[in-house]
Amino acid sequence: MSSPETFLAFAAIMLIIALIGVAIDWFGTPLRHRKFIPKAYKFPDERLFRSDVFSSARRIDIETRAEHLEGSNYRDVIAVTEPEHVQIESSANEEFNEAIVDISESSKGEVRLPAKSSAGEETIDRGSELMIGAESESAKSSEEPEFETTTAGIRLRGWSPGDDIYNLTKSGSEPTPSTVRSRFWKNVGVSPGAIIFGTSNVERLRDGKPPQRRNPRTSKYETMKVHLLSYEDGHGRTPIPNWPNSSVDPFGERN
Amino acid sequence: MNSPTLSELFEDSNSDTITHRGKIIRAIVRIPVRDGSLVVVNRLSVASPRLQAVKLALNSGVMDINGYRGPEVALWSHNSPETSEIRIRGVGATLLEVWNAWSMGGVDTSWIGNAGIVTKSTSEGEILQCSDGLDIPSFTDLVVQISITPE
Repeated sequence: MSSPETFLAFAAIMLIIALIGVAIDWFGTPLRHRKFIPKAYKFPDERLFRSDVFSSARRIDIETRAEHLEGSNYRDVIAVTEPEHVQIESSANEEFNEAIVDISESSKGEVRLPAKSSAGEETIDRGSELMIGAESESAKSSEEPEFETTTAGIRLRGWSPGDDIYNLTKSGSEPTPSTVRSRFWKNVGVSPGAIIFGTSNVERLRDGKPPQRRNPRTSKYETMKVHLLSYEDGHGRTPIPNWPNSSVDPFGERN
Repeated sequence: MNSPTLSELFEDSNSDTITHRGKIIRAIVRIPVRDGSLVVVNRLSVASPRLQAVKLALNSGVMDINGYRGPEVALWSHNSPETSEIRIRGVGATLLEVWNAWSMGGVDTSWIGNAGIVTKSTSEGEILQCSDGLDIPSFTDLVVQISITPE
């Protein structure tokens, strides 16, 4: 056989195999007690969706960050109550993030180039920032807390959903606690796994409000809480929210 | 457009029990008990990469389990034994409420997404097939058997 004929024969065989596969899938159970299901789906007629909200891998990235803004006055602990007032960020040019380079005494000679953040990301992965220079370790002051030895003093200005909740405002000032909280929920709202909270909750999240669930024990709605620390106290880490919970693990650590 | 999740169906129906794809699915299971009853929770299987838990609470009274006494307990798949015995204490204890939970990146979560329970009654007790909220409904994420023995 010539080369085109060989190719056509091969294509025809593959087409027949594919049609057999489709037929098996179409007609259901080809073997008793064994149903053909595409590997990606548990059921053929349902979409598989996955949540990466609060995934541990992402948290590990976040925990590698240990940054600190010199001279920050943002020390208040944010109340756990549900936010009623959502402070709206400056509308103009919100998608533009401007890096602020604030080189402290302990970090001279050290420059970090922040990774560009996109709207689809929950936080800016500062662990991926490129650090140039290595003089800061030797220049650190003994009076400063230990975590400051790794500080670059860089925080971005402006915020859009998906950015770090601790970004400075567009004017360069520290965001208020309510703003940070609102940003936190908005970031959850734009993450791909947010759909687990349901459509109405995704709308709430995108408005900067926490999700709610119906507690079948009480038939009442409960609101998810997050305990936000200041950028300094929380070392810039994204906090983990929690649902109201009164159960105790008798085989684990008891509160 | 995504189809509504089980928790949205529960919410829309304003009920703790729905019928979905021919299955009766519950958000919470209520089992009658009384003072002195022995509740045996037997974890039959876990088929989820996430930590799973069965939570139990009383309408009144407390439960004794592993030296702890309280009205609401959580038995997690990673640290509780396969079989746990719980003694019911309290004259007002009449109803044991059972539901499932899972860890979503460290967040103790229940009653969202596609969470639900399918029950089967056997001679040895009630088998609870639990789906956690993530992904499509899968009632093999956690399977437990609960049997009640009067004092």
